[in-house]
Amino acid sequence: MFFTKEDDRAKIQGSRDPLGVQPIWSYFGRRLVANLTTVTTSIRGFTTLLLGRYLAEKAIEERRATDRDSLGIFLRTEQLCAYARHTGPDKVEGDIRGIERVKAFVEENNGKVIIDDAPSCMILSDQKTYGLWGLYSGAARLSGLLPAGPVGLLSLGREFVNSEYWPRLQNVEKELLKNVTKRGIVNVLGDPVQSLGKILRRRLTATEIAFYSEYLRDAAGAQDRHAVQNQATLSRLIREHLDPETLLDRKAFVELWRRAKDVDLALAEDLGRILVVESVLAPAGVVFDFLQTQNHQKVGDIARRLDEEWPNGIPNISLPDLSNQLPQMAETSGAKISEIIKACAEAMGGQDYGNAVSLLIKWNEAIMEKRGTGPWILEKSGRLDVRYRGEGRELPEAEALPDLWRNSYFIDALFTITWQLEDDQ
Amino acid sequence: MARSRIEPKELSAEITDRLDGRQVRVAVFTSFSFDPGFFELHILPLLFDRSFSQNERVRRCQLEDALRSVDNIAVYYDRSALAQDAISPQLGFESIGVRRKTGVFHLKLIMLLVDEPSEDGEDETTPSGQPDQSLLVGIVSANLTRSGWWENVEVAHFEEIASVRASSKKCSFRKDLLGLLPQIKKCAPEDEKHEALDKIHEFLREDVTTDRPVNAGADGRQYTRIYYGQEELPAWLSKVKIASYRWNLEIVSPFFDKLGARALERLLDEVTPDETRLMFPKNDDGTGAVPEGFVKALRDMPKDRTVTWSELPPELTQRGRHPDGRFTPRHVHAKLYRFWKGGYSVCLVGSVNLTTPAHSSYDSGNLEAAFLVDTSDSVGGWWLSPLNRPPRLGELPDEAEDAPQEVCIDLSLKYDWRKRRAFYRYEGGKREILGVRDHTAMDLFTIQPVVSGKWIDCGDEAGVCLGKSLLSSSLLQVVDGENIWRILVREEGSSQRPSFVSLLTPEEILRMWSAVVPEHKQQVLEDKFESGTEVPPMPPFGVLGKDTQKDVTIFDRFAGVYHAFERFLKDVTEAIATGHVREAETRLCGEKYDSLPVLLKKVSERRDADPVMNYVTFLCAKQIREHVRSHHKEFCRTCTSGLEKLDEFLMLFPTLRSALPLEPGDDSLKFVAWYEDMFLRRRKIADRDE
Repeated sequence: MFFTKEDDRAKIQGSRDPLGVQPIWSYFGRRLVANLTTVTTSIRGFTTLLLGRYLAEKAIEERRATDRDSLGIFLRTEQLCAYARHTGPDKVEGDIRGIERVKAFVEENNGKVIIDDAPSCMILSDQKTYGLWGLYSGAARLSGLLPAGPVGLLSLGREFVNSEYWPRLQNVEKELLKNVTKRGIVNVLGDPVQSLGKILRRRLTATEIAFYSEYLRDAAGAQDRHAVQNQATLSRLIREHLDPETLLDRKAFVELWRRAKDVDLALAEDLGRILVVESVLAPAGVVFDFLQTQNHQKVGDIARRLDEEWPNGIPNISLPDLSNQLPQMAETSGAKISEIIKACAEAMGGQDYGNAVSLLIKWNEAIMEKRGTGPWILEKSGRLDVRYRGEGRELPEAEALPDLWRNSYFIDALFTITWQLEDDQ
Repeated sequence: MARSRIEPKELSAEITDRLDGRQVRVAVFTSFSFDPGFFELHILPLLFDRSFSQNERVRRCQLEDALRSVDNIAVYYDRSALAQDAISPQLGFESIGVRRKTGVFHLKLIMLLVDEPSEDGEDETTPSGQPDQSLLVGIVSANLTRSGWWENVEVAHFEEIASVRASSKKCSFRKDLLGLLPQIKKCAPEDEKHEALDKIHEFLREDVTTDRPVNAGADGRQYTRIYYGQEELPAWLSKVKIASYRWNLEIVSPFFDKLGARALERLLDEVTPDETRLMFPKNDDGTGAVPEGFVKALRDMPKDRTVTWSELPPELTQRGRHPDGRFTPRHVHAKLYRFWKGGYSVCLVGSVNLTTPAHSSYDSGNLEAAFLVDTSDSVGGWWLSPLNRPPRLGELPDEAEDAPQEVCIDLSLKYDWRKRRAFYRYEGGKREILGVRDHTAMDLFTIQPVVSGKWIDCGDEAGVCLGKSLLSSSLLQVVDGENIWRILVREEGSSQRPSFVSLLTPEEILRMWSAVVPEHKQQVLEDKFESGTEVPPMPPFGVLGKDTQKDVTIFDRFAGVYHAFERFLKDVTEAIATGHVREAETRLCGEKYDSLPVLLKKVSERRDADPVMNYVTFLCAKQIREHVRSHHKEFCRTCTSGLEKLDEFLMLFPTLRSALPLEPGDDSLKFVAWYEDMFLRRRKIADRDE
């Protein structure tokens, strides 16, 4: 028997999103970050992805495998790279998807691990879906490194692996191709794992820094030229005006926006849009969380409590600015929801909390209607009937409101990738 | 050897590890609370050894494909406890809402009947030619909801039963399972079909050794048993000799009796442990989630009954750090009774709360299930640590978790996609009229008069209404005066349920057919859903993922169509040959996004299409139909109505032929007649050669 642990999938899938804000922030975030997703935060994850695709292409070229085997080869490469990073010179503990199983397999078998795409050998219980293949391929495609489909690399990615990694794997080429195409036992302290370990060092080479800076951080190979231009400048501003320890709250975004106004008005405009949108989404999210804890409470009492907790109101909401963003919101979430958002922003900004509560309930109802289900909270005779309490939590203190920030806009991934590259300069 | 610390594991990981790539043929899940949307998107994929997209719509398409290879999937859940954050399913698997006259349907059981592969990778076959099978049995405390599977602290235990051909090892709980299955059936109406349960029952009766141990244990170890309310829990524990030893007792349960502590008292009377530790359930804010009546009863217990409020190790109950530095707690929903002394320990693991209905026999309380399992290999000593001072009491947890809700209109709705008819079944007291609304509260139809005790056809109009509504959501509202109740419609004949994806063009459907590996299909769908644009035209020979879109010649286009149909035929014949009749039926006569009738419908409705291409597509379809007619007579007999629908589409063939740009009077008409004849004849020759 066993106790269950929290499933990683919960983090990847994100919250239940009762107000359906994810499509909204994704839309605005994509204007700034052309390629990364919330989970693509490891440069070495991308290195492994490129190696896996390269090896599959090579094995198919050399007729050791067919298209059908491309996923299997990828999974084996991912396993080898994970063992290599964990047992190699850096002895990496975090930043490896599946580190717990990697550690356990190495310990249990004295370093002789099975490399295979059979479920029992996988380093994640669901490596096919929640490993690098499932989580990083999309971002690599957007970066212009992978083609559509499960096989091969685009020339950009292929040439980079050819010049940067493959020469350093020449002495283990045959062994490596054997390991990734067929099930087998591999000594993690021998070759080719250790050769892989050397090229997967935490510290990047100058060529790697140049390549990943250009194509991951600055997204030079991405299609959306507007976002590409924004992303390159934004990552520069992050380097110049924030530091790796900066908490990505509203204060940090305001700083980026302020700096952007001096150098790139288009970027400043897009950052400004995010500031406007988040000024509504963030407080709406925290108030809705709070409502989930208020079963059977009168709307009037809840409004009074909000007034007491936040006597100076909710800062940063600008209705004229929000109105300019409503067409985009309507495009992603529908006209009905964008109208509710507008009304809710008006109520929150004007400290009309009773109305704001009712509108938040309507907002959730409209989202749940789209999902083919019922609302989480009903308002009956002036009281809340909380049908689902799930992620309810208390209100943040009034002092926290000016810097309140809840959503990613993909900028946290850009921030992480940017500083990973800087650490190695 | 005993382990040094309690190692938690993800429930999903346990399932995939246990399956180890084996093909699931029958799956049965039971749950009290149920979120069908979560089950569909995040639990069903665990049954298949393949990759699934992160895009939910693509994932559902992939599941639609994958589900065709499974004979039966059934979920039994308590109708009174549909999860409040439930999302509507879109795939039409079998979900059977049940209701009990006494207590609730509370057991959380997972049974997976799997095919065994042989050493050489092929399926091991029985004398009848069917693959040998094994049964995975899991009993857990987790409901089929996001909080149950991903977030809460739950407990679980899994066992596997091999067929008698693979193992002659005695099974100590086979008889318990055979006793439990009819109890599940009894919770559903008498005329309900239980194909999935019946197959598992048949496996247990026919394929598993009937030998079982005579004693409760041997060599200092307790044999594994299943408790399902055969009698009251204390009496059953006595029967399986647990009460014969002096133990320490640890109890983890999130729910207690509200008035008094009867269940605990009776348990202690029977087991008479030296010392008892009881987990103190807490709310997120740290207050106690314990009824005052229970606390008082505990306080009033005799002095020799020491029960100490305790807590689980923090590494089990804490989740990630909150931005303000605090650890956020995980809700403990596990139900565990651990009897231990020295190096011996036995655990009762499952759905049994420390409440009187849970400890009652199945005919007077809840229907529960728990494994009694020897855990002497686990960590020794106490697992729970005493609390110096229990926190003050707070609100009691959500009643919806483990108790029926106050109002429940005992109405079931089902929809038969083959007949396009809606049926209701009502089991409650006398009622004149019930309203049925869709999930947005729009009136669909009314039931009047309300007949009790059998399935009643709701009529033509209701059938049409419900059929349309189900395409948006399977969650409906039933209205009885001021009471409104949410129900999940049970859907039958899912192969005829129109796919929720209908936006693929004929070219895209052919590309899907041509895909060599599932990842190719995934890519087609992801391109479609993410870009919202048309997928590039049909490449030759279905080769995807490479730069083959340029210079597509007329030869390539037609070769692509022939190739797609060739692969389609191969898949269908393989499915028929391996007994996956449902899969063959769905592809040949279903209404899924890549079913043949869907392709033909789209081709025939296209306004600006190339008439030659349309003609060739229909001709290929005709060829496939002829092949199936002549080679798979048994299959044709079982799918008569579906094939009739396909034939109706094929009757459009002459119309498409007449649309060909042919000049009357020249030889082109003769050519077409010759071509058709040769085309269909070549198939016959190819079949003969095969």
